[in-house]
Amino acid sequence: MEILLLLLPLSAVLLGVAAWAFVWSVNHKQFDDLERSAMNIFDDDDREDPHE
Amino acid sequence: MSTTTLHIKDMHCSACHHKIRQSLDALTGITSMQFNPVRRQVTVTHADGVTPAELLLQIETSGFQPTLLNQTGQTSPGDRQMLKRLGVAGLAMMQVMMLQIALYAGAFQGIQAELARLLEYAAMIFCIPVVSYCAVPFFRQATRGWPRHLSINMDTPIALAITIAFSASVFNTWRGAGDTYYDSVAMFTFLMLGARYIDQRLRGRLQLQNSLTAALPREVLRLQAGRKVPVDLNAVQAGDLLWIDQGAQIPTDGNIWEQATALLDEALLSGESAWVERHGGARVYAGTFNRGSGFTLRVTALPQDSRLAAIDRLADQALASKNGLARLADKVARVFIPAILAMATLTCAGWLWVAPEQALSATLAVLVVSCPCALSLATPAALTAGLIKLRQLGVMVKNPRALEVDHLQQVFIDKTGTLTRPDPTISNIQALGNLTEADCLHYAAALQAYATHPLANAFKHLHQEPLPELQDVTVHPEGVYGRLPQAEGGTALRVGSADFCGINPTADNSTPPQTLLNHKAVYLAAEGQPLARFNLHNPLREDAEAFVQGCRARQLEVTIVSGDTDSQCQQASAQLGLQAISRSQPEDKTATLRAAKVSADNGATLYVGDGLNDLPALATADVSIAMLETSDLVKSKADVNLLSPRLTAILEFVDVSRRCRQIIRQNLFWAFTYNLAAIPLAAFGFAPPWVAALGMSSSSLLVMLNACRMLGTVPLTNSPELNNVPASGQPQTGAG
Repeated sequence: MEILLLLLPLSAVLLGVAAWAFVWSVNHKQFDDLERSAMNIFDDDDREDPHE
Repeated sequence: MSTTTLHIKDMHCSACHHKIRQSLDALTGITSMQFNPVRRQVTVTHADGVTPAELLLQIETSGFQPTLLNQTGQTSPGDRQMLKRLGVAGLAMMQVMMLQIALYAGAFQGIQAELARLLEYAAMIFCIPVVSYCAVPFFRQATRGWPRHLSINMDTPIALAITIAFSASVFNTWRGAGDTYYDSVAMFTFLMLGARYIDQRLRGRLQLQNSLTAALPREVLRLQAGRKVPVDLNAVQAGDLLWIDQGAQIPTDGNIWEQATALLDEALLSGESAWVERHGGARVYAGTFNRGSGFTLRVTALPQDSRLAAIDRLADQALASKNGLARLADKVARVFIPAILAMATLTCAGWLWVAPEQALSATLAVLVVSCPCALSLATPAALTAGLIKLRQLGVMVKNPRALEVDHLQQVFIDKTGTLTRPDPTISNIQALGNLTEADCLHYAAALQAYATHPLANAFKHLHQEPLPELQDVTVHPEGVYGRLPQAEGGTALRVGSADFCGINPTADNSTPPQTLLNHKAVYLAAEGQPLARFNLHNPLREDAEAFVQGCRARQLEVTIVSGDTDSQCQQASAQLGLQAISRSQPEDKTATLRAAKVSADNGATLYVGDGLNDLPALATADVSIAMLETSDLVKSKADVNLLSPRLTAILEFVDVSRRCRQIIRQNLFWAFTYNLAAIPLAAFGFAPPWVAALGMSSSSLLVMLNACRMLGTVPLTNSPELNNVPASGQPQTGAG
């Protein structure tokens, strides 16, 4: 069971990465507007958009 | 870099997006724009130098009507913070559970002591962020006002349970004996945060902080030495003379100056949909619209002292008193928590006296077993399930307390726009001249396309058809004048009131005399020759009858409260067999509701309305419902918003809220019974802490599952005719 001494810290590191990724995505407003992307398909504006 | 979110109510399609995008592109310092077609919002990221006012102006010049949204309209930083806490708690919970499963298995199959301690330490480390970061809002709420005065609220038991369970676990881990409760801590925090987050998001939606007076024009035209000078509304003094243009909203209370005559739309204050004529010296109120030609107004009251502002304050006060009600769970906590603490202390003292080595284990067992998780979840779980269910049915509950209102006995409903459809329709056409009815309709529609009068909406559905191009069109308050093109004869046509068309309505003996002003006939005439008469009415909604029957079946007494005249009310009330109170001013409606509450043995009242004149009544009623076709302001002040034009959705709300209260009662009963039974067992040492933890978790789970039962029960309105409402108006659930 000595392997746990490696696996437990490893899972802690992975947890840290996952938590960081989640917090990052919330901070970058990835969860702010969950409706818009689904509606983009109706946007028939084909022109090159410099903003997005 | 900053962001501004604007609501643009007339933004309908991608072409609109394109137009707005182009107009904003003209500004320098715009980084990006994001459109949300469902909420009709655009979020603009721009340099700090660009002010929201510039954005508004820029969009306005492209022909749209933007309004600035404050924080509540969008995802607030508070929401984001909550989501982060929830996510971190979820991740940590998974880790802790995994470790705890090994420990549980070890407890039954045997596990090396060192290994168990290693796993416990690991669980403790994963649990630290949950307690020190995720659970912070609970601690903050529980210690609010502390140490000066201790307020026991909903969060006290939660904070206490987390603190005690975690510190006892740490202590046990450190001394290497006894049970640990890291899994309970993590799971409990996650579930509670989840419930809070959903609640917060639901409440944040559509909550446009707005007031009646904020909708008044900010700039007015003051007459100074015979010139019209634009000044800020706040600079206006009593005694000033203001020029009110045609179509403008009256900014503050005053009198009509000299011998002018004004045609006013007072629907905002009185609910009366027909326009009224006022003469020199008469009082006019802020918020009404000038539909006639321009006139001079002598200011008698500042905007903040106007009648409109008074109504606004009335609504706010009523709302505040309603929200001040203590919630059941808080009341329970206030009694229950001190009782638990007393019992734990008693247990501890008792065991110290009898067998000191068992004192900690028994005290912990009492605290864990009596942890009021189930009790604190009982109400929110049922409410959340109720909210989700109603949302599926096209009813958005903004104030979850509306679901808790018991003994609903009386329903008060506004007539125009609520019980009836919002726009008038043509009930029949009488040809008075030598043209066919179809031709008359064709010409009338062409003229009405220019009109702004609400009755012109009756012709709106015809605007899609090819209509003749009119020349020399002039719009009068009482009608529209225009000439047909030469190809179609070049006849001059008038559509509007009998007076405007030069018709003596009594001469046509087929129907009683009616003018445009006091309802509901529109004439078409060519050079003084009457061509046709259009009889208009606001028809009842298709499901009005089903709604009334449904209310009767549920022992609810329905009364119409309307600002309209007696005769109009009688027609509707006779058709549905209801009582009606006509000519109700906003204050009268409030008084009616108060009186009903007293006379009906404190039975609760429900008010359904759609107009701004319903605001005080909406705030006074125990439960207030706003119809779909109404302004954001009315929606923001009502407890419940209908997302479909169906009246029967109100019945669904009543059913779900009844079911919801039933579930709450069951949940509370179960939680109390469980605690009553388990505490003595734990206190006398019959239940070891792991049994206590199991009991606590399963009782919480039971409460949650009981609440979820509500989501499955589909046919709420079980009589088939209630479901036969056209589905066209049903919005997609989940959108918006």
